[in-house]
Amino acid sequence: MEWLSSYWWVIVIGIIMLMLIIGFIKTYNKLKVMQIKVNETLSGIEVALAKRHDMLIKMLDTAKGYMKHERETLIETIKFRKGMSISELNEASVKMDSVASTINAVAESYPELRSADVFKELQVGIRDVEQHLQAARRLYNSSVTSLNNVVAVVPSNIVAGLCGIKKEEFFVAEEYQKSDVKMSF
Amino acid sequence: MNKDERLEQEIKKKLVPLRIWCGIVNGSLGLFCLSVLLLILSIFLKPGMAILTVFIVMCVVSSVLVITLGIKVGSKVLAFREYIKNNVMKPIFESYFDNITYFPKHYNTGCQGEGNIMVEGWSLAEGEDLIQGVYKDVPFTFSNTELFHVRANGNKVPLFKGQWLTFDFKVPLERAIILRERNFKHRTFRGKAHAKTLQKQKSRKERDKHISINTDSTEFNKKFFIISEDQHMVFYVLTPHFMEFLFHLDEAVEADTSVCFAGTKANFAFNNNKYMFDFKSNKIFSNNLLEEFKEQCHREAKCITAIIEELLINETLFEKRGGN
Repeated sequence: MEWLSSYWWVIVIGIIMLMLIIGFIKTYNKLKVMQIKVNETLSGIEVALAKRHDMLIKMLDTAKGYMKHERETLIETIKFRKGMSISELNEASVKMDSVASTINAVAESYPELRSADVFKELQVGIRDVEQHLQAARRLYNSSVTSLNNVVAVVPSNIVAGLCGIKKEEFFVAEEYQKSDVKMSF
Repeated sequence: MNKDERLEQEIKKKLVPLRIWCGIVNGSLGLFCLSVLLLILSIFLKPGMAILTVFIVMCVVSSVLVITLGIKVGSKVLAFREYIKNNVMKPIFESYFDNITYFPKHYNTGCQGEGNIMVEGWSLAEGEDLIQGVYKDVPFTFSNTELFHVRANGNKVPLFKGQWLTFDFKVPLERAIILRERNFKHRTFRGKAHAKTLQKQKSRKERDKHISINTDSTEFNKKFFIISEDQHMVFYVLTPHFMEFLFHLDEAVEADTSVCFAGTKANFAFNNNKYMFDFKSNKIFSNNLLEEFKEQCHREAKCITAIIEELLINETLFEKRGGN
């Protein structure tokens, strides 16, 4: 047991090193899982935006008789492709919002368009897609908040810094209105 | 004299003999307590055999009186309760909803279906006041419900007592979503212990099947525990507006709330350890009995309408489902 009294410090350092390595691996795995989740949820936004894009194109096709000149420009405005960055997705979403309001404004001016079955169905469909987009956006932002919180605090920020894991950008969109909830009983 | 006034007169007429009977029971209970007290005193003071015998006889007679009159008055109070429920509660619900049916001795079987997961480990359901109706094309079922776990020796462990509401939206939701208030507690120590045992018995696979989900609202996460297999569906159903509504609803109903969206149904369970539309014998003497009962009925009906109205706000999910 003499060697133990001479080399105890080696064992202590060894245990500390082992604990540090385990801690590093655990934090790294946690950050990676969070990053994967962020990417997964981002794909949810992409899917919803792609659906919304398709629906808007269909709506523009249905309304082409009422907006001949603007149609091509609007289609060009809302160009959508896979693999867009968050800021590009944000931009695309804003543009889709404006195109949707333009279509709605046209529908307001032409009652026959508003009452057409195809148009009505598309309106219902686009509302559903918008709800899904809102859900995907909130889910993504919630995952980003979790990741960013972990990346910001000690000691996980050291691991994140060493492994090149950075804070992610939020997907900004209009907020839900929630102040008008009233209970009357 | 209109219908309401006539009904009020009739209830007042029924209340007079009931109050007399209850008064007699209370009197005989008082007599029983007095005679027990005197008997105890006489044991210590030793006044003599004759007085002791008188007190014993008083004790026996008053106890017999309390038991026989208690049973008789109990059945009279029950009959009065049934009368008031049929003649006051039902018309109030009919003024709010369509196709109202009322079954006094039945309970909402929603707890046996998908809602089974809301209160874990129960094996016996009891209840009363089953009300079925329709509001804005959405059928609903309401009842006072009690859930128990029955042990091997036949003992019943109470796990839930409160109101169970089920709304039928016709088109099924793809994945189940369960929301449970974090302090959705089993009201008794035995119930709590049973819940803990159940958790321990579950295999890891079973526990992992439903993932606990956090929403984007920290306050909501603090208050509610959400389990589902589909995170996107949770965010789709639980809009910020709906989460805010659940917060307000929980405060308004003064109960531990649990909500479950599964299959075609939305189940709401309010665990408050009491039955709605119930009143004890001592309430018979209250002058505001009828007003208080009516207020309770209106409150419950408004709660149901508020939930349906809120669910219908999510037009792409619930309105479409309800409308079909």
